[in-house]
Amino acid sequence: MRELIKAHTSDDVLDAVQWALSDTPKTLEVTGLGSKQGLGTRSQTDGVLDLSGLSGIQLYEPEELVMSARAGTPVGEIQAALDEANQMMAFEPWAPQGLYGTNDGTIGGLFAAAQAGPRRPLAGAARDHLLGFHAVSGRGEAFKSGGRVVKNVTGFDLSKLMAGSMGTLAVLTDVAFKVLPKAEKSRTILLLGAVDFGQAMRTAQNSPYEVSGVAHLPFAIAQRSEVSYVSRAGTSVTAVRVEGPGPSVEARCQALKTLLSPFGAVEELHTTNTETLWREIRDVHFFAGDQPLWRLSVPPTSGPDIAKSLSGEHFFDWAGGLIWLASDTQQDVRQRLDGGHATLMRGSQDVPVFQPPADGVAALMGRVKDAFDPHAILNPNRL
Amino acid sequence: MKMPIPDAKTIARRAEIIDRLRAIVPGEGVIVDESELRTFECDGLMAYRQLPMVVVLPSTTAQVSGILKACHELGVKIVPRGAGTGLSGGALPLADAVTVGLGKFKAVLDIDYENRCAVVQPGVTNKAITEAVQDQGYYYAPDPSSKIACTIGGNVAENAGGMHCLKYGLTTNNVLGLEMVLMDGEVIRLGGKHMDAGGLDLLGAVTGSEGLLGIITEVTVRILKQPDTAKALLVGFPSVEAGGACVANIIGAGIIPGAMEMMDKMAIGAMQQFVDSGYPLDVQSLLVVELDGPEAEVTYLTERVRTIAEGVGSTFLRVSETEQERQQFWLGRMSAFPSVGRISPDYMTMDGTIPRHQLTNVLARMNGLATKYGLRVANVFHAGDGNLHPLILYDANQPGELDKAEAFGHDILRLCVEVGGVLSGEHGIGVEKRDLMGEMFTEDDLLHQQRLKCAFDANGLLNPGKVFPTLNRCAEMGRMHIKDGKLPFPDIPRF
Repeated sequence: MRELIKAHTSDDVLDAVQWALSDTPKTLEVTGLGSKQGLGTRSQTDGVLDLSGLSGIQLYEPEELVMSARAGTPVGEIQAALDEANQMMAFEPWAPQGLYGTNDGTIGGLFAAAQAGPRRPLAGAARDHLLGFHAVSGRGEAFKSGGRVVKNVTGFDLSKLMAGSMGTLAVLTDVAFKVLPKAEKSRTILLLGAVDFGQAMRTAQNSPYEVSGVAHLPFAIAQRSEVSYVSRAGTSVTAVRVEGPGPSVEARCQALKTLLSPFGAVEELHTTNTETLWREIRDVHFFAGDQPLWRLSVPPTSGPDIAKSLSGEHFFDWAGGLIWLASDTQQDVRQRLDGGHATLMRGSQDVPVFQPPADGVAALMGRVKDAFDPHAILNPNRL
Repeated sequence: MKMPIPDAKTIARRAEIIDRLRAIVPGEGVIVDESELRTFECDGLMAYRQLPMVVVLPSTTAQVSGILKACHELGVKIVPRGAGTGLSGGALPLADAVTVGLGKFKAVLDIDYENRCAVVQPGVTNKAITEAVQDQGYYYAPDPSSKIACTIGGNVAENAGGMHCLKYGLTTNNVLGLEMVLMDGEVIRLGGKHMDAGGLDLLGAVTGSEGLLGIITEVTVRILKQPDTAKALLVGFPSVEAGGACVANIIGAGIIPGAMEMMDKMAIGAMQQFVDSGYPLDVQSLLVVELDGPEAEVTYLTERVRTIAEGVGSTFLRVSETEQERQQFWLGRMSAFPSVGRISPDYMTMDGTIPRHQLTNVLARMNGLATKYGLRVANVFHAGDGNLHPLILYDANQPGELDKAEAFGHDILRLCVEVGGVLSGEHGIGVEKRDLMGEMFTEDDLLHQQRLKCAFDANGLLNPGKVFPTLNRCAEMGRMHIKDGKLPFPDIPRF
């Protein structure tokens, strides 16, 4: 018999974890809206701790660039509040809806899974935007770390540790995070049929023009875009996004066109098409369905060669530093890496979902897990 | 400030410890003479001094590993040290500890422009990283004011900031990878030239851990292309409120300047007296706003900032016309510490962060505290991110003034926490703010931080007496205290 515990307050979470620790320790699956159940190994647990009732924005001060919310707040609600103030989560979290056909999930889940998208190289990852949190650790104790201000070096930075920990150390109950103004204007430069697209991507990324996204879609992938300039290009498409104040965007687009023209023909997308294309890239729209999906984070220079050596379909983000690979073939993706890591984002294969760390680091991570959750009751084996 | 009581048994074994260290680091790398040890007796927090038991200066990762392994076996404490520029006493020696200096790790190992990163040893100075890559138009973004002297290893340990972190982030946002040695001598690597290492983000947890988790022996940092253009605006206001409103309105308009610094009347006077930066003396607050990027953007934003400043009643506004003038505008702000040193025999640099909208309130209350303590305070702050640096002026030769200055400083930090801010924005806790941690954290908060330390250093040998107000033994912290857990919702559906 599995216990379903629905928490409405942080005290409920504390009670639930203490209950799980009483007598014989019982394992708990921590869940919000279940948007990412397709990510990571899920074990049969003794109980389910449902945080979807622990919801609500607690503080939003747009002029202070900060928001805090209870962990179970739907991401849609957060986005709506941000849209109203013309702000955003600058790390551009991908939407589970796109990868798993589920829903947008909760803000706690978003940070627990460290979702970040195309703007990550410019703006940082989820962990860079999580300013502080409240949580209940696997020890059955409520604790907090960080704060609501951006500049903070008071004590160990446990926010970094929580971001991406998949709920295996503690149950987040509140998160405080940094928000930023949306750009006044955004444009995308399209480079068509570039043979040396790797070099082209890095040329854009390493220019002084502060690009906020650099991706490459091979011909077969580009055809699936809903943006006709991309799908009807008749060749591969390298996309470079530029965001900022109007006059700046115009000047930078002009400079980038000049910079990229030796690699092939260039075109420019305006606001709506830019939004559509980068949403497709962020949410891996091109590989919808349930085919096994890999996400490889590598040094940008190695991206193109690694992708070429793997069977399946792929496209690049992060100027080549991120490869999305869809493939049914059982292949040792990790053996091709020369530095970096690979995550099996969807589907199952005969390999661990997350990259196994080197021995010493794995042992250290094990000790960290023991420190926060000594009876291994939280999301067992999820990470 | 009390430090842990030195262990007499360890001190009695000094000769044996020196022999073990000399077997690992030959020749002059092990420092034992009092006159030479004196160099290491303090860091940038000069009010506290302590002669180290021994100093060792390794030059390879293998030596660092050997030193830590030996000290782990011997049960001897370690104090890691970079350039010793830290302002919170993180590198303050202990009488019964070996200070491990990383000053010989000076090599830039790899510059990889294509992947926008540089791999350097921890003893490379912050500024030297930029110097190594600037001929290709790149730079390393975080710029603490000690950048000429401070080293990247120390920057990582303290999660150093600087004027430009408003737009470009702190050290933690600019480090991609580390090699570090754990207390038992094990060498591990975290991250690399790619982004976001898999698994738990230990890289993020180690950054800013103030030498309590391990010794960093190699750092991979992200380098950025230098912006095409940069301009600075000097804007003066008849009140602190108007200056604060200007900052709020700039951010509120969606503009994130490269840097945005504010100073109060006392600081302006001290700086202008020290070096002519063109600062007006008839204003109550002064902003230096730097805008960087493509020329079209800088020109556009300059006008927008000008409009915002005039809208809140600025009485002085100049835009730098040349690169030389931009640097001149910065010169005063960059010389904040020596300027204040000129008008007072001693000064204490504080470092707290507050929500920006509390600025006027906090400054008013700080002035009230100054009156209460009978001490002067000059304020410089990173206005964009609410990071205050009150400089408390005192005279250490006057009996009781140091204590009074410290009490004043602590009250300022309590005030920061009270209004929703934090004890330290970029200088770290070290010994300076250690005993104030309870103002911000509960016992359970602190125990969770300390348990992270236990995962790295179970015997508590790395930099004890820093950051945490109480020394807890890992074994005791490991015990669980669980109340009788009752199923909270007995009547809910089960499946």
